[in-house]
Amino acid sequence: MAEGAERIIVTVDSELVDLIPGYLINRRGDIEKMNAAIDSGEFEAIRVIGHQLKGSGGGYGFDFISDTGMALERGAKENNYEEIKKHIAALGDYLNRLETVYG
Amino acid sequence: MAILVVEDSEDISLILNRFLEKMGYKNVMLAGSAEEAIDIIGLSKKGGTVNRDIELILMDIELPGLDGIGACQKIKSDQWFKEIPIIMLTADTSAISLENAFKAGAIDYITKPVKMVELRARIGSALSLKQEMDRRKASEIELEALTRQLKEANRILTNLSYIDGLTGVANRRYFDDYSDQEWKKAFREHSFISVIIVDIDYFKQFNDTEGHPAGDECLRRVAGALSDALRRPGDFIARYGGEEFVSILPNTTLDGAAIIGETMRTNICDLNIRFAQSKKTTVSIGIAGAIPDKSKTIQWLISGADRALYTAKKSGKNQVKVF
Repeated sequence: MAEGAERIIVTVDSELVDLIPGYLINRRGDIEKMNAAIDSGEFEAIRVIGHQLKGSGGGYGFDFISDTGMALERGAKENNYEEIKKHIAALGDYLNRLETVYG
Repeated sequence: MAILVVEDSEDISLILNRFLEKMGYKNVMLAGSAEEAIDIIGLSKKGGTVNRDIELILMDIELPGLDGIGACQKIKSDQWFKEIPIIMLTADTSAISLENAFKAGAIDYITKPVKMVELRARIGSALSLKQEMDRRKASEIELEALTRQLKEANRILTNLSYIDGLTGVANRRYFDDYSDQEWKKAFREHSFISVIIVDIDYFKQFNDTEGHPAGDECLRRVAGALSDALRRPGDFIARYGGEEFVSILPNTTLDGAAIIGETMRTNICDLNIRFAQSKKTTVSIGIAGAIPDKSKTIQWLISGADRALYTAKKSGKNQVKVF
């Protein structure tokens, strides 16, 4: 986490405790894939990832990931490079500042 | 009972699986594509056995290769799976997408990201509906089976009500119904119809000397021998009462009836049933026949046969007389 940045605390279902680390690691993988895809103009690959983020994030308790996924899917459909870059960065920032507590 | 989840995103599959486990569904199958789901269900090979453990399918609409709508159509084309509820999973709630899902046979949809409270409610509702439909179907099947049993019981009862309990041949009731039908038929077709009445000679004496059990056995053997004289499928002998038997012969002239009557008489002689130490059981037979017209009735014909029988008795018994 960047020094001085405000933490984002998200409370998720304790029944999902074993699934959360893997889920978040996969999202970092998504960021890498999307960065590689946007550099080569593969908007369809970004759309698919955005669509899957939209469908999964809220289920785990991360509504921000779903919202970001929706924005990425929309940006990919519009071939909007700037918008996609902005949301990939936002997702990375979110993951960096995220602190998960279980309840 | 199993639930099949068809979802290409592993992250979504994992969380659905966890939700379903928490909800108490122990047997959850996961498929990453429509093709894999069709394989698990058992529809990938023609004539294969389908997996009847699956009672509910959760299907993502957007799948690589064959999509959820196409998979739904394919699954619903199977006779067994036509009744299995499919709930679509979708992040796309556009009217067209949902309309296509319902057209393909989906019962409901859940929007992604999936929340457990919604998943529980939708699955509960779909399974309740399925169970109610299954109950109704089982009731219908049971009702159909009972109706068949009732029809069969009625058929047996009808048959029993037409059979003479002692001799096993048709009874008077059946003869009355059948002879009336045959008389009307002969009237319509303007064809000859004959009646034969048979009476066992000295039967009272038989009972007096040999006893009623022997008399009953005599009646049974006589009934059998009289039946043996009838060759055509529709011909039958009925017990008319006491020691009297009667037969109606459609499309039979008096000559033909006389031949049958004589065969009956001979058959009884050949039985060689003895009573009163040496007497042989014989029968007297009266025959009448006519082409029906408006001036005659079946009762008229039977009366004619009865008069011929009386003549046979008066003439010394053990003989056939034609009216």
